[in-house]
This record gives sequence, structure tokens and C-alpha cells, in this order.
Amino acid sequence: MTTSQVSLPNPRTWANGDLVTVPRLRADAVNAIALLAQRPYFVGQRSLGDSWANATDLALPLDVELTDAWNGHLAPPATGTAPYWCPLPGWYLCDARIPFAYTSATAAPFMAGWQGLNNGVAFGPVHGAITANGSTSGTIIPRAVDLIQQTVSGAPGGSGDWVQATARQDSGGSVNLQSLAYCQPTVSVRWVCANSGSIVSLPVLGAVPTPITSAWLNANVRDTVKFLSYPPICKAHYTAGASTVPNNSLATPAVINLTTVDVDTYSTFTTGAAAKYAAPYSGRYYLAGQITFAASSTATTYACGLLVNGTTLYYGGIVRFAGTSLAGGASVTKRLRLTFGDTVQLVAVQQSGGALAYNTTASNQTRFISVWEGL
Amino acid sequence: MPQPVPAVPQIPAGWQPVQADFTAWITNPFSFLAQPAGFRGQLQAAKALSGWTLAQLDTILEDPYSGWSAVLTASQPAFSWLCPAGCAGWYEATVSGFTLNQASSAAQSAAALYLNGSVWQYGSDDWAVNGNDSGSSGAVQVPLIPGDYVQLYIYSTAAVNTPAVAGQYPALEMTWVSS
Repeated sequence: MTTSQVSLPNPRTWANGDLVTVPRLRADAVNAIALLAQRPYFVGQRSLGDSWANATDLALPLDVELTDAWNGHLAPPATGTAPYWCPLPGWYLCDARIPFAYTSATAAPFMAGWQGLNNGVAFGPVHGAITANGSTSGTIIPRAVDLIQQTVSGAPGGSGDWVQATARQDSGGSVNLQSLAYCQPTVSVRWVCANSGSIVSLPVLGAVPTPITSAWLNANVRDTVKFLSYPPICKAHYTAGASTVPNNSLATPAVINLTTVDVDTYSTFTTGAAAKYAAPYSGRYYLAGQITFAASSTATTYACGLLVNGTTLYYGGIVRFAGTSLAGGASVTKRLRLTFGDTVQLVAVQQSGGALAYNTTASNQTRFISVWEGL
Repeated sequence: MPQPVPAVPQIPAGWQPVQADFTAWITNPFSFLAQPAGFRGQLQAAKALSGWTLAQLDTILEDPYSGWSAVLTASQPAFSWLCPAGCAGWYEATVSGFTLNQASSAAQSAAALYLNGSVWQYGSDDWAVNGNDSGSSGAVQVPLIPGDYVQLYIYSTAAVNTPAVAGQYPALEMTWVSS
């Protein structure tokens, strides 16, 4: 069996007296293990240090494939700007980091982003946090982490849904992508959750009884497969309004107002000025967030972090911002262990001297992402 | 109990399974998939940074597969996480680097994952703050086979310490994501 032949699991409910047949075990357990152990996952890079034009979101070509077990990307050298075509419907965790070689002292904004097609409808590009640079040190890495739904699967180059990383810089001239082997534009796309599923508890996988019972099979096969193929994931973003972040400090960051839920499989996200995500299940979570502020000309600090249970801070980016009427921001990416009921809030800092508005351009999104990754 | 990365079970037609078969086909694979190999550690004490510097993580938050060593062994250098036997695959590491105020408008802070003693990929690289501590976080995808080891390195343009401040601890966090 190859992974490309694996379908989304739909495990049966076992009843007393059911025969435990080989086809049933293959359909329920083997199929799910094949999928979950080698899910759709792509990592690719751009190695050529391309010259990147000013002020345009351009698709990132990928000439290096590090892994593509489900063959969603056309293999080099036919890649061009080829995207990753969805081989299996579901939610994909997409991460793009785009190193630019920029040595000017004139501050300029840099952006990574994602665009694509979902259920036949085009979206994006939607940027990660806009990253300013004027350090003269040579490399700046804007990043974009997004949780993107794909509905229509299909072969690469076909009519199915797809995602594609984008890059942009607004320095006023062209800037090269970085081409150092250890610092190349890199893209990863990973299937993390089905588009629909059942809310179940992940059972404690117990010893095999004698004889095998329907209860054991329902817990250890049916419920386990249902949980692992439809785990807790969440994405929420800020829909353009009048929210601002006050001038504040790293010790007292502001909670970010997230107003719109894009996906929340366990329905534990609370929107609003005190927006928070409550862990619906204990485990290790991938957590990411970003804020992009309105244009400013005040040199200052921007920071973005996570606040657990209202008390414990985890910062990601604490970065310098400078420039003339530029948008800028900060992002955070962490893996944290959360216990059932723990709350996570996205927080931000800016020290421009007064309140600073969130960026209201649709492509400059402020958002929070959470993915349960294991016990 | 930690389990290895599961191979896809092969269930022969007509087989008369016993309890051990169900353990091998169901319990062990799903145990790994529900608790994949991973690691989380932080550097909480203040440490001097000079260019790219090994983060000598001093607080191990979780290491269920026992890959971490803070001392040199026959298998791995000090302050590294060794891919355990049976746990080959693609891992995703989140890396965070922090510095005290570098007092410069021409400074950077960055974090990278090193693989077997050489830089594998930068996870992040940001413009450092002039007048505040700085931070930089990102993610790196890396393929590992048993015996490979990884380390967190942090970059600071200026020779300053890491901040010994909660919320700004340099950190390496990893999870197995695919065979």
C-alpha cells in the first residue's frame, strides 16, 4: 500500500458478535496508521537567490524537494511556480520562511504569505507579520504560518485545490533572496486535521483483553482513529475594525482582539477583546500568532507572545521597527504543554508612545493558530 | 511506555490473531501516534552570547524518549538531543532566541537548528531592538535517523547575555511529524 492510496479513516462501531476480520482490520486500523504515520507532508526550498521585484506579491518557485510523500508538488525541474496540490481534503499547517539578503540601512518591509484555491475559490495572498529591516546585517526572515483548508483533492496540475507560498519586499528596488544552504527560502505544508469528524476522547490505550471485546475495539481503534484524524485545532483572526494596542511594556503586554473564528474543532475559542483559546484536551500544542500594526514612522519595539492562564508569558519576536509610514509587526511560534482547560491568549507590545491601531488591510492579517500534536 | 515509529501493519488474510498481534497492530502504533517522540527545553540562566552560540539548555520540560544529554557521551555532544532508536522521521523544531538589549540599531537576533554539529537551517532572523531585549522565533523542519543529534544555537550581533527573564527563555521544542 502506498500512502497515495490511503483515504480518510471512517472506522466502524463494533458490536458484540462482530467478526474481527482481516478486511475490517485493514480498513480501520491499517488504513489509519498508514495515513497518520505518513500524512501529506511537503518540505521544499528555493536555492537560486532570485532577484525579487519591488512591491509585488510573487509566488515562490521551489526547485528543491526535501520530502513530498504524497506527490502533491510537481518534481523539479518542472516546478516553476508550481503550488502544492491538495492530495487529501483537510486542514493544512503551512509555514513559509523567506530569507532576503538586504544590507541597506533604510528600513523596508518584508513579507511572506500564502495564496491558493479552496473549494475552487481563490484566496490570498495573506501575509505573515510584516517584518521591517534596516540593520545592514544582511539577512532578514519574514515568516508566514497559516492554517489553510483544502476541500477538493486532485493530482498536481489538475483542477483541485492548492496552496502556494508568496514573498514580497517593498524596499523601492529589487532585493535578492538569500541562497546560503542553511538559510534558503523554505516551505512546509502538513495535513493536520480532517474537514469534519467526531468529538471523542482519546482513550488510554489499554492491554488487549481475552477475548477481544467490542468495547476494546471501539475505544482502541474507532475512538483513537477518530480523535487523531480530527484533533483539536483552531484558527482565529482579527476582522478589520478600530482596535488599538496601547503603548505598553514587555511586562504588561496587551491581549489581542480576535474577532473571527476560521476553524475550532472543539469549539473552545472565545472571541473579543479578551480573546482566548481553552485547551480542550491535555497535550503538546503547536501555537503560532502574529500581529501587524498600522503604518507608523516611529522607531520602536514590536513584540508578540502567548499568555497562558493569564499569567505565564512566552514571547516570540521582540523586534525593532523603524521606517517612514511603514506597516510592521511581530510573530510567535512555540510548542507548549497545555492541560485541559488552560487558556492561551495572543498578546502584543508596542512602544510608539501612544495607541497604535491594528493593520486593517485584509492581506495583513492578525491571527492565532493552535494544533494539538500529541499527549 | 514510549513506542517506536510504527510500520504499517501487514495483516495476512486468513490469519488467526492472538493478543500479541493486536498489541503489535493496534496498541503500539496508536500509542506512538498519540504520543510521538518530542522534546522541550529552555535556557533559563543568563549565558554570554558571542555571534552564534550554543544554547546550553538548563531546564528540560519534557523528554519522553530520553534523547537529551547535557554532558558529552559516546553518542552525542553536550547539550544535544539524540534521535532515539526506532524514532526516525521528519521532525519539526520550534526555536526561540533572546538577547539582552544590544544597544544598537544595526544588530540582529536569530535562532537556528544545528544537525550533527553543523548549521542545518535558520529558524528565524530579526532586526534587534535598540533599547530593549530582543527575541526571534520560528520553525525548522529536519529529517532525523537514530544517532543524529540536534542543538539550538542563538545569534546576537553584540556580545550580551541571554535574558534570565520568564517569557524570554531561549527554547528548543520538537515533535516527530512524519515517517
